[in-house]
Amino acid sequence: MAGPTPELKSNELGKRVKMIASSYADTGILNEIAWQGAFRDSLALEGTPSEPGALIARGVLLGLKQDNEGVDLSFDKYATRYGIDWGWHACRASLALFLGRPEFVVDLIEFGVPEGDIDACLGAYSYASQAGFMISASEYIAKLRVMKSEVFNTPRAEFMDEVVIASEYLRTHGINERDLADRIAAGWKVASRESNVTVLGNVDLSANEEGISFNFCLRADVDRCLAIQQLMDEALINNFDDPMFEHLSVGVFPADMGR
Amino acid sequence: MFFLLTWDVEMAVTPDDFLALSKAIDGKSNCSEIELRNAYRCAYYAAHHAAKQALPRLGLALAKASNGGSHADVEVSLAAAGTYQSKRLVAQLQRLKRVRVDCDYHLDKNINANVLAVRMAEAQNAFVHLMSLGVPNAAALAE
Repeated sequence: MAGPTPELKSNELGKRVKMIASSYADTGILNEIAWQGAFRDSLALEGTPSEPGALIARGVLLGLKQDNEGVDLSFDKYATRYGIDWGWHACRASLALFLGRPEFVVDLIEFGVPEGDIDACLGAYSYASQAGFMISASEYIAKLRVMKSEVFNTPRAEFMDEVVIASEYLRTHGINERDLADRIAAGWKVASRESNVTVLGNVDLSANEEGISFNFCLRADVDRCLAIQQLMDEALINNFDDPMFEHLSVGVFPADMGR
Repeated sequence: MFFLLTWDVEMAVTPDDFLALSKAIDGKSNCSEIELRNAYRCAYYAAHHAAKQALPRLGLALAKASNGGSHADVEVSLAAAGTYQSKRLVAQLQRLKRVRVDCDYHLDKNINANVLAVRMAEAQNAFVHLMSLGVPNAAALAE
C-alpha cells in the first residue's frame, strides 16, 4: 500500500524563504546563513519536480538582496517554463515596495485574484496597500468582507479602515492611485539607500480630510529620521513635476524612541 | 489709559508661546494621550503662526487658497515664493497639519506615538527655520 504523497521539497523551501523574509521585515536583519542555505537549495532543485517553487523562492531571495536583475531572471525563467499564474504574481508583488517597483502590483491587479480565495485576496490587499494602491486595496477589502474573512477581527482591521479612508480621499480628489504609489516608491528608495539605516517592513498609514500620510518605519533616531525626511522631500521635489504634497505625505518615523 | 496703550502694542500670545507650551507638556514623564495630542497641536500651531508671521518679512501677501481654510491660505502664500525651500516648507506644513487634524478631530484613531514624536521634532525645527526667515543675517527663502 502506498504511503502518503511526499511533500515537494520546494514547499519546505518556500516556508523557509517566507520565514527569512518575515524576519527581515520585522528586524531589518537578514539571516545570511539561512539565506545562503535556501539559495543553494533553490539551485539544487532545478531540474527536479520542485523546480517551479525553487525558481520562485530564488526570485524572492534575490529580492531580499535588492538584486533586481536576479529577480527578473528568476521570475522570467519561471514564466517561460511554466507560464504566469497567481503564485508568480503574488510572490513578485510581495517585493514591490521593497524593490521600489510598483509595476509588480499593477501586474497583479490586472491579472486578478482567484475567485473565492480568501488567502489570495488578503495577499493582494497587503501588497496593494503597502505599495500605495489604496483604491485597489479597498476593493480587496470589500471582497474580503463578502467572503467573511476573519481578518476583520484582528488588529489589521485598523489599518484597513485607513486604507478605505485613503481610497475615498483619492476618489474624491480624482487622484490616480498609481501616482500615489510612484511617490511612495520614490520615498522608499531614498530611505532604503541611506547607510546605517534599516527600513523595517511595517508602515504607518493615516488618512483624513487633509490627505494621506504614509510613513516608513526606520531603525534610526529622531534626528536621523528628520535628515532622511528632508532627503525624501528633496527627491520628490526633484523627481516629480507635481510632488502632490497637498494630498500626500511620504515620511519616516523611528521604530524605537529609546525612552 | 496706560493699560489700553499696553494692550495696543503687546501681542496677547506669540508663536513662541505655543512652542513653549508644547515643550512643557511633552517634557513631562508618562504623558497621557490627550497631553501628547495637545503638545503636538501646540507645536503645529507654533510652526503655522511662524509661517504666517514670516510672510510680510519675505514680501509675500496672505493670499486666499482656492481650497481649504486659513491654514491653506498660509501654505499657498508661502508657496508663492516659488523657491525650492518654500516648496519644502509648505510640504512640511501640510504634513504637520495632517497629523494635527488627527490629533484634534479623530478621537477614536490610535495615533502612533513614534510618528507623533518625529512630527513634533519636525514642527519645532520648522518653527525655528520660519522664525529666522526674512530676519537680517538669517536664512533666506531664496536658497
